[in-house]
Amino acid sequence: MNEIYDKLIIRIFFTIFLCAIIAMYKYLHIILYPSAKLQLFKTFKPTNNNSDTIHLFSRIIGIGLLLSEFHFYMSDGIAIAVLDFSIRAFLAVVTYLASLYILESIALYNFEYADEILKRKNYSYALICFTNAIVASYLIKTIIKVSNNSLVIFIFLWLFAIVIIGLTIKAYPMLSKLPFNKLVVQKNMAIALSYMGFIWGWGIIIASSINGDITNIKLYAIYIILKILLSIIVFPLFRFGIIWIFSLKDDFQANSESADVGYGVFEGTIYFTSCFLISIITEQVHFGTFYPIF
Amino acid sequence: MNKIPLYILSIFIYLGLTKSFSLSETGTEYIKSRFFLPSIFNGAPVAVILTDYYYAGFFIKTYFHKYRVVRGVGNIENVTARVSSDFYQQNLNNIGMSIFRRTGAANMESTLPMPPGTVYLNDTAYGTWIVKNGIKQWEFYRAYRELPEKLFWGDFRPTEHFYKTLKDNYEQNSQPFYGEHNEFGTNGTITKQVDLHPSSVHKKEKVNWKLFLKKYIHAENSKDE
Repeated sequence: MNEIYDKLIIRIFFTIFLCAIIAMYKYLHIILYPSAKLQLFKTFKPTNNNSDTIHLFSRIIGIGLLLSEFHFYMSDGIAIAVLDFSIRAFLAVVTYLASLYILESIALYNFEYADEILKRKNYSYALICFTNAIVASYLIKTIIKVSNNSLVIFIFLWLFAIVIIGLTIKAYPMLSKLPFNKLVVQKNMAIALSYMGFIWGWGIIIASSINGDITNIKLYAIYIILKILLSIIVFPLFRFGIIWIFSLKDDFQANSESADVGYGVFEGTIYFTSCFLISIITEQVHFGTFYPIF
Repeated sequence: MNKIPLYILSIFIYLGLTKSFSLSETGTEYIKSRFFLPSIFNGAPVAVILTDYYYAGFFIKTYFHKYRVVRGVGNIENVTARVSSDFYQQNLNNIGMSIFRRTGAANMESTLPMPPGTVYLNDTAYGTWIVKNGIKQWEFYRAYRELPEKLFWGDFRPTEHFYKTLKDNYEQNSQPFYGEHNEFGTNGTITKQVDLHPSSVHKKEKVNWKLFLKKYIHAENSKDE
């Protein structure tokens, strides 16, 4: 019975410890986002500013998702377990914040948090930040899993993933018919939903591409690039297939001043579904002995 | 920006990169026709025996040959090579045959399919003709006593008559020679004895559809089976 009590107390201790890690995140957040001081250090009322609520809660979901990948290894004692967890969690939190900073600098370089959230209560901006936060945490979670406690591999993969997701963000305006900056200024939800589907979809593809065993770093990098290239090749086929099967008519008018939310849902859904299906083609086709192995 | 050129470019980059790092592309030789054999198998004397052939792929097939390379001394070497469709078809009847040989002394090369070990016959550096039961037959010297096994001869030992028929066929017909009584080649009696038939093509197990469908109605998880 003693052991059962002890295990329960240890689990409660770790729960408190995890809360401490989240508190550490809160303070680290201020370093990169000084403008968020008000959001984090004053009593937050979720109903005051809904876009601010989405913005803050996206960070909270992100950090929760990120920390869910960590493990406590108790074999060497509780002190080592806590220290090991702290070091890895610190690195993860720092890279998560840096990722957020980079992704938002790429996607929302024309916009400021203070202007869009605090003054204009821009839902579109908040949802784009939400998308970035979730995709950043999901990618880092995958990188932590793949790097297998190696700091060098962790940094390499993080840089690699950030470059690819950065390029994906840059490619979004090329693929979408919706004018990004114009619609964000208009607080249009269509752009946010379309962006969400696209970035989450490609986030899944990038995460599934890097999710493999690393034996040779050069071959591994080539392997990731090949998977992403294959995804780029298959993506339009799925997109076309879904549109054709469901007889979806692209009725977006390029000259119109605004965009309907329905069009954002249409684009976002097609991007997201296509990317999900792509992961079957790139990851789940097992050739086995269909081809000879040398 | 027009997306189609970018899309086509990405297909080419994908194909180029995949080709550069594909083990089946970089790890195996490609033999387009019999004329490419001398550049792949160096040294002399050497006998290259086709031991197996198979193909892989569904829409676009890749053809493979397996060879046993027998040199006078030293270990045998097993080589897998990709071959062209034409070369594959040309050699369907040549399992167990020597499809390339280079003699040691004169450095003569031949790609005409002949029984394995033709390159060593009548070469006094490797053996001699001895009379057994009134028939002259080839016997390797003690130093090369393992050659008949390496050449898939089994209990077969070429007679002088066999050698003469082989030589006449080579000089006059320039046609593949499968033995006096079809001992060699895919359907050869000796080849069948040493079990050198194509594996993947002819021995592929037929799908048991009943068994395949049965696994879906099992209550327990049969994933590990």
